[in-house]
Amino acid sequence: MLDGVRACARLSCLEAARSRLAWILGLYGAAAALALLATRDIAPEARSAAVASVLHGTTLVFGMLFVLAGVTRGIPGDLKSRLLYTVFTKPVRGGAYFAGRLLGGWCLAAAFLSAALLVGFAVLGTASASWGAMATHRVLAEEPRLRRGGNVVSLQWTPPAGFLKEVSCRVRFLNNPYDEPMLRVTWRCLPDGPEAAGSQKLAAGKRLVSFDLPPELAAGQRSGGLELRLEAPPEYPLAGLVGAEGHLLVCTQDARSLSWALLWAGDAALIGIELLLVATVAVCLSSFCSFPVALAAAAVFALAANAHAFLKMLPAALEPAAFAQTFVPTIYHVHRAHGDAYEPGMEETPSFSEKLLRVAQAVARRAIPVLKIAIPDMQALDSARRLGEGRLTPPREILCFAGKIAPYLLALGLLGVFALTQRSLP
Amino acid sequence: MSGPLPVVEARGLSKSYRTGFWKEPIHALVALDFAVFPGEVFAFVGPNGSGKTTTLKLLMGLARPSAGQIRLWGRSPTDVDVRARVGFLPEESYLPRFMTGREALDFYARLYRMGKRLRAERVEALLSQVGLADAAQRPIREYSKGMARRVGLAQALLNDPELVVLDEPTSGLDPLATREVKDLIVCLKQAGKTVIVSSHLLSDLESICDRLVILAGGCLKRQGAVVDLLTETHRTLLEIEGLARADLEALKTFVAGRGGRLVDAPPPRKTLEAVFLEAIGHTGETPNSQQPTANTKRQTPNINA
Repeated sequence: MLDGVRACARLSCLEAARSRLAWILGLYGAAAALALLATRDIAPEARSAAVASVLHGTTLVFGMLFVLAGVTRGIPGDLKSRLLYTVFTKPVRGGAYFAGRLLGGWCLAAAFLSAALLVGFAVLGTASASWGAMATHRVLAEEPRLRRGGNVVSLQWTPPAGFLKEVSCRVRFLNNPYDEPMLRVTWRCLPDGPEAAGSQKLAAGKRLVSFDLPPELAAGQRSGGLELRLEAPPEYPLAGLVGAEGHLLVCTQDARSLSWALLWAGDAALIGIELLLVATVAVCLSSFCSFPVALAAAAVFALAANAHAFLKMLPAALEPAAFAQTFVPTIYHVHRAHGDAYEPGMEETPSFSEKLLRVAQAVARRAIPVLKIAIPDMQALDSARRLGEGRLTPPREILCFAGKIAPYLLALGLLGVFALTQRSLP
Repeated sequence: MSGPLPVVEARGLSKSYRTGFWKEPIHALVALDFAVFPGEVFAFVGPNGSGKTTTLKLLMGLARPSAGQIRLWGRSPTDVDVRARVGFLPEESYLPRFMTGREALDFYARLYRMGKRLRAERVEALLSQVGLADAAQRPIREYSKGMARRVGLAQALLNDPELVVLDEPTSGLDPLATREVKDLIVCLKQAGKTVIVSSHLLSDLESICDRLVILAGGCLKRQGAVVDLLTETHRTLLEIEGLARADLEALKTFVAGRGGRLVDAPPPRKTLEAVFLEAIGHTGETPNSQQPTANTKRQTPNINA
C-alpha cells in the first residue's frame, strides 16, 4: 500500500516539476520582484510592513495557483488520458493511488510555501533588521476603552505625515452579556473635520472596521489628527454594562492596495479551487448518472459541505441592517467625491455616471456577502488574516484552506475509490 | 474429471453501458463463456465494436460486469495479488507523457514494489529488449506511436507475469516490429506463460494462437482450437516442388479418376510480409540479441525496428 502511495506521490511531483511548476515559480519570482519594487518609495519605517504585506499576498496567490496546478489537475488529467488503465492493472489499490496523488501535491505545495515563507522572512529580516514576527499592521494606540458605566470615550491621534494612508479600528467587547451589542464608531478629522463614517453594528467578539482617511488628511494637509469615538447609544441598555476597547491599526496604502488586490486574487483562486473540486466531484459522479444530474448532485454536496457556515450566516445576510451596512460606505464614497460631509438620510443628486457607479458598487457589495455564504471560508480567511493580532498568520490560513477542502478531498477519495474499484473506468 | 485449472474463467459475462438516464443501455457483451488454460495463447478476434476490448477490461478489473462473473486463478480480477501476476498492454499506450521512457518504466516497477536494484535491472533489460535503450532519456511525448507502444509492451512485462494480456499489440507497429511481437508471443508461450491477445488483424493471430473466440456484436460466434476451426476436412492441399507440366495433367487425371476434382494449381505466392522482411534483410528468425538477466527467466525477441 505504502509503495503505491509513494510511487503516485512521486508521479505528482514529477508531473508538477515537468509541466507547470517551473512556470509558476518563475511567475512567483517575477510577481514578488515587481511587488518589492513597488514598495521602494515607501518610507523606511513603513517599508518592512509593506514588504511583508506584499509578500504575504503574493505567496498566497501563487500558493493557490501551485495547488491548482499540482493537485486538482492531476487526477482529472489521469482520467482523461486514461493513465489509470496502466496504473490500476498493477497491484495498486484505488485508495493508494488517490492518497499518493494528493500527498504528492500537498508535499509540493508545502515545500513551495515553506520556501516562499523562508525567502520572505529573509527579505523582511534584512529590510527591517528585525528577525521577529513581522507586523502587517502597526498598532499605534490601544485606547480608548469604553468603561463600565460610561458610554462615550474618544481618542485623539495625529498621524505622522507622509506614509500613513489607512486607519482601521478593531473593537473588542469586554464583559459582554449580549449577543449583538450596538456600538457607534465614529471617525472625525480634527479639529473641525467632518464625521467620517456612520454607526456600525458590531457583533460580539473581535471585529474590525476599516476607514479610508479623508483625502486632505492623507495628503498631509491637515495636522489635527483623527478622533475615534466609541459610543454606546444612551437608550441602549448596555451603555452601563458592557466595556469595549478599540485599537488603532495603520498600514500604508501602497502596500494595502497591492496586497489586498493579491489577497482578493487569492480568494478568487480559492473560489476557483472550490469550483474545480465541485467539477471533479461531478466528473466522478458522472460514472453513475448523466453529467447534468452529477453536476446538480455535486452542487448539493457543495452546499451540504458548507451547511454549517451557510446556516450560521444566512440570518445575518438576510437582515436589512446587513444590506444597509453595505450601502453606507458606498454613499459615503460618493459624497466624499463632492467634498461633502456624510449625514445619514441625506438627499443627494448624483450624476448619471455616479448612479452607474453606485449601482455597480451596490451589486458588487451585495455579491460579496452572497459569495461569502457560498464560500464561507473566504470569511474565515479574512478573519484569520485580519484578526491575527496584526501579524502574518500563514499557518492559520493554510489550516483554513486545508479545513475547507478536506471534506472535498475525502469525498473525492471515497468517490474515486468507489468508482474506480467497483465500477467501470470511462 | 480432472485437468489443469483455468487461468481465466468467464461465465455468462455480460456488460452494458448506460449512455443516458432515459436511454436504453448498450449491450457491449452478452453472456460470454470461455476459459483460458495455463500455457496457451488465447485470442479474441472480431470486427471493431465486437466486444474484444470490453472483455479485456472486464478481465483486468477495469470494468465491472453487468452480469456473470470472471475469475483469474479463481479470484476476482481486482485482487491486488492477482494483478501482481498479470501484465497488461492496453489498446493504446496510456503512459505518463511527461516522463521519459526510463522514468515511466521505473514508475510502473515501483507499483510492483520492486527493490531499487531489481527495478534498475528490469528497466534496463526491458528497454534493451524493446529497442529503446537509446531513446530512454527522451520524454514519451516525443515518441512515435510505435515507440510508445514498445514502452507499453515493456511495462506489461516488467513483473515477469504469468498471464500476459495484450490488446491490439501490433497496433501502430511497422511490419518488422509486428513480426517481432508475434515472435515475442511465441517466446512467452515457450516460457510457459499464458497469453491472451485481441486483434482484428486475423493474419496476426492465425500463426501464433492455440485457441480463439470469435466475437461479433458482443456475442460469441465461434470458439475453439485454431487448428480445428481452420481445418477443412473435405479438401486436401498438396504442396509439390519440381512437378513438370505434363505430370500435373496426369495428376489431374488421377484425381478425377478417384472422384476428386483439382480446383486450382497456381504457382505458390509469398506473403507480403515475407517479401517485406526479405527486402529489408530480416531473416525471419527469432533474434535473441539480449542475454537474460537474473530475473528474466527466458529469452524474448528484440522488438527493434
